[in-house]
Amino acid sequence: MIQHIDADQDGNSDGPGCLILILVLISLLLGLVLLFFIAGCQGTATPALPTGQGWKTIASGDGTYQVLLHLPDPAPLNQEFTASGWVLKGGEPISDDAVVHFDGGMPQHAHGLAVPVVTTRRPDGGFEAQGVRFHMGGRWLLTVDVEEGPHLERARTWVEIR
Amino acid sequence: MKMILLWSLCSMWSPQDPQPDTDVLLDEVTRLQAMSLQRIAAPVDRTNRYNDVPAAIELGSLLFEDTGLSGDGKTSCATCHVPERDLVDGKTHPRGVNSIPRDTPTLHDISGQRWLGWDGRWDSLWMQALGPIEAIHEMRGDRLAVLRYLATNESLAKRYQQIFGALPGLKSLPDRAFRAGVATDPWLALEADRRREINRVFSNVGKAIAAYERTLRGPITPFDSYLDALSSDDVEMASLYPDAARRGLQLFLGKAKCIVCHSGPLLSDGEFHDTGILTSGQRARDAGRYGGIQELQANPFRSSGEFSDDRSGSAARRTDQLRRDAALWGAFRTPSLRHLAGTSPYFHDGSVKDLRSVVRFYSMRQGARPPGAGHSHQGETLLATIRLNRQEEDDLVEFLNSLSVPGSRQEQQEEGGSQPSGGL
Repeated sequence: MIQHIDADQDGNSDGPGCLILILVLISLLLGLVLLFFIAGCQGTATPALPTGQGWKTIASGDGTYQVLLHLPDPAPLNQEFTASGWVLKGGEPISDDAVVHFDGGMPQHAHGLAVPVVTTRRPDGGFEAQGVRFHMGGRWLLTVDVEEGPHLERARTWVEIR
Repeated sequence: MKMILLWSLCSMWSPQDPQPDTDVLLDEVTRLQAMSLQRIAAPVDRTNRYNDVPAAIELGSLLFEDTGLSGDGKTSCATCHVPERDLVDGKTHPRGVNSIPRDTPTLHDISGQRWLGWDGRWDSLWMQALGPIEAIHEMRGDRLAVLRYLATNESLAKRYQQIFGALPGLKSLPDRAFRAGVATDPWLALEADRRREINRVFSNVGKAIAAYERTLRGPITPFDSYLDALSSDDVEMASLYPDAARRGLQLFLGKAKCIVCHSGPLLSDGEFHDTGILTSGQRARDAGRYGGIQELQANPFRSSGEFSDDRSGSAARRTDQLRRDAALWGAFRTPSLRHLAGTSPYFHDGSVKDLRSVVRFYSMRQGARPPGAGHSHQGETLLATIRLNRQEEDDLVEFLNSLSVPGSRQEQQEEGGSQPSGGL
């Protein structure tokens, strides 16, 4: 008796195991797609907020905001630089609509920055003020005002310029 | 025994016999502070692209001494900025409609200044160079007269055109653009493009003069040599610096707090302060920086104006962002202290003739407006009486003299200022 052996039979020597493997792979792929989708739905990821040399963390007057302010360390005397940073609210960066205003002055000498600076919001959610210059040595009081609609709050810190 | 004790006490208290300081290289902190006063090269000025063009520098040097730019044909930049006298004339000059006196500043190392003029009404050297040409109390010239002078002087015209291109034609030009500081009707009646090309020539004249003025670096002074010694740990060289000047330097950096405003390579923060000087005999009040900002922002030759070669750079941004703050009324630019001895009289109004009086003004605040009584710097605590003793005053004066080459002091004593000592 001649036995007919199907080519299929020969080729599917693993039988249903291969099918299961394919199904598992498809499930994994779908799972990954779902994961990326869910992550994407949660909005912009919180950027890694830097700390270390030149960074100061200041709480605003009523505690609503946390200002992470960066200046060169040490801040130079009578040379322009850019002050920059982030403002956080509940651990997240404030919205792009919020207004941030950086300023500096020497209360002891009753004057501010010799040339006022303009503070701009960066696309990454931070802020920066170009052309900051501490023209005299001594204690400078730095101010970061945060304005969200009608809500206004101020954060302040000191820096010693030599 | 009593005599010995008395002698010992007298020795201790004698102001003429200060404790010798053997450390000619200073302690580390003081030394670092002192070295912050090192000379540096002239900063870049992108508003004038001709600054380093040799032909422009050469033309500028000719124009600097050319009386043909003035209204009466007798005055040049060098008339007040005398090359043989530390680039000053030892005088004050009236300014504005109220004829308020302003001291002639030296041009040594002038390219390091951020703002020019006692009230900072100019934000570049080329812009500054144009001011006195048309000032009614200075050269009394006019931009149209300057154009005619250049165009009709074959040598100058050739030099100008090699650098800046063709001069505009003179046809149908009015006599003057300004009279007593006010634009004339015929000038205003000219087409805007015509006025623009004439203003362009005028700005180029300023740029050539500025290119030359940037080369006016002051000579190496005893203080510079001392700084070199500090930098290289050269005790022998440092010991050549007079002890009194070194003690004066320590006062400058410490007790007297001069460095708070007189910092950096020019010994100036380049900004504006009201030091409480009362100019005697003046009815009109000098608005200082408050008025200077107004003048600057209205001037078409400012760094952000159309004749600037860098309208969006840092100099332009600074000017545009300035605000007329009421606290700046009566504030004047901190002058550089380099080459000081030969540049008497002192203060913005030239009211003080000698350095000792300057030191005493800050030490004792004699004749100064009381703190809080002025329009600005209310609450200022820096300008308090420090009561230097006679020896300390001498030392500080000695230090200030070391910022000039020897010989400048003699010149100051012989020729002095033209104004009586005021406010003291």
